[in-house]
Amino acid sequence: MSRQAETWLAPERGNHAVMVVMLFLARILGRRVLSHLIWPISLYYLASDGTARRGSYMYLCRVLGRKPTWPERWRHIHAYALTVLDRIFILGSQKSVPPYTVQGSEVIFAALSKGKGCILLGAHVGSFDALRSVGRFAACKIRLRVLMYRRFVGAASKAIEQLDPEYENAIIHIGEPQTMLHVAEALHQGDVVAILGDRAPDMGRYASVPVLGKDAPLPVGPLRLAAITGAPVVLFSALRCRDGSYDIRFEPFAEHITLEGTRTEQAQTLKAWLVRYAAWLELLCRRDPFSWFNFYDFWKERS
Amino acid sequence: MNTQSFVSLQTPFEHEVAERLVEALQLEVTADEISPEAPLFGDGLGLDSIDALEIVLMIGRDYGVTLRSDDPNSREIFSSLRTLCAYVAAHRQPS
Repeated sequence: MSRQAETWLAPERGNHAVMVVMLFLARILGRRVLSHLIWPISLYYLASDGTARRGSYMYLCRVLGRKPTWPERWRHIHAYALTVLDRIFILGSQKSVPPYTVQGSEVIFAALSKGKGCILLGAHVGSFDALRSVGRFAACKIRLRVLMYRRFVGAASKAIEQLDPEYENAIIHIGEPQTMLHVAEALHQGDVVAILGDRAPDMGRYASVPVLGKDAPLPVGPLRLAAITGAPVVLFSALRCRDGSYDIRFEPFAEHITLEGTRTEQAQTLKAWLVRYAAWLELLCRRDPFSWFNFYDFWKERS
Repeated sequence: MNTQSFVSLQTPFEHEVAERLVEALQLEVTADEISPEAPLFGDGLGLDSIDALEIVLMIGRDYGVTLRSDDPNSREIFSSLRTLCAYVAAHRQPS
């Protein structure tokens, strides 16, 4: 693999046949049994996927402040495998949906009460799909839309996503001129639009801000979107606890983002907001150092 | 920096819309420098889909023209200043 290729914009790995077997096992064995049986898969990825292994290593060095041990490196990959496995049970809405606790749901309702929808800003830390459990079982109806870059989604992920017939409908695809128009219309209707804000596309606008002690490019798009639409921004996280439940939290971020002045002045304002976002991201990593799922050259250390 | 002027290629209406684009998007080019047939997105003016949203809000506010995300022609409408202006001219409300 070339050294320049280690961005997140690459075709996803994962084998469709293996996933079909996993889906079958999930049905007959259930979540708890299966999650004890998948450690060889994590071991296989640790051994075979160089980009993921190096991305994990660079991150662990930063969050732990030292070189990680091999058991820690395996644990990091394994945490990801467990989260992928849980997708089967969250999207499949079978009997064994992972249990979860929710903190701060009132933050979303307060944001929605302004009538401008709500942008939920998350990160590739923990589970994104756990959000769907909240949407599905919330006391009041929340319409959830998910903004995603889907070009490189692999066959294995698609096999999981087909479990939930609503999954595809909730997605707003990134990469079309009318993408953000679509998002603005959803917000205008009072929908919640979830965005993971920690991966900067190679061509898009970004700002470099410190994450775990070193500058990394973060996209300014979600915050520009909030400024244009007037939508409040709420932070979202779902970390997997040791007992297999999810700790879902909503935290206030911005009631309103105002952008004024020239492009340069606006860029400074956006950067200041991203510094706050990065501080939140760091807190998540401190709470659980093994739930960071940006398995690529996040800090651009190799290019 | 290429500061070629395209003003002679612009119709008066295209020049007016170009000025409003520069203002709304805080572009670091002047209205004269926007070639009417160059792509607005990607390699041309380098706009992205959030800029497209700003453009939609601008044409709604200034010309009373609405454009929805499910419009099958939206890709074509956004392809250049000229196609955008043609759309606005055809759909603007008399004020």
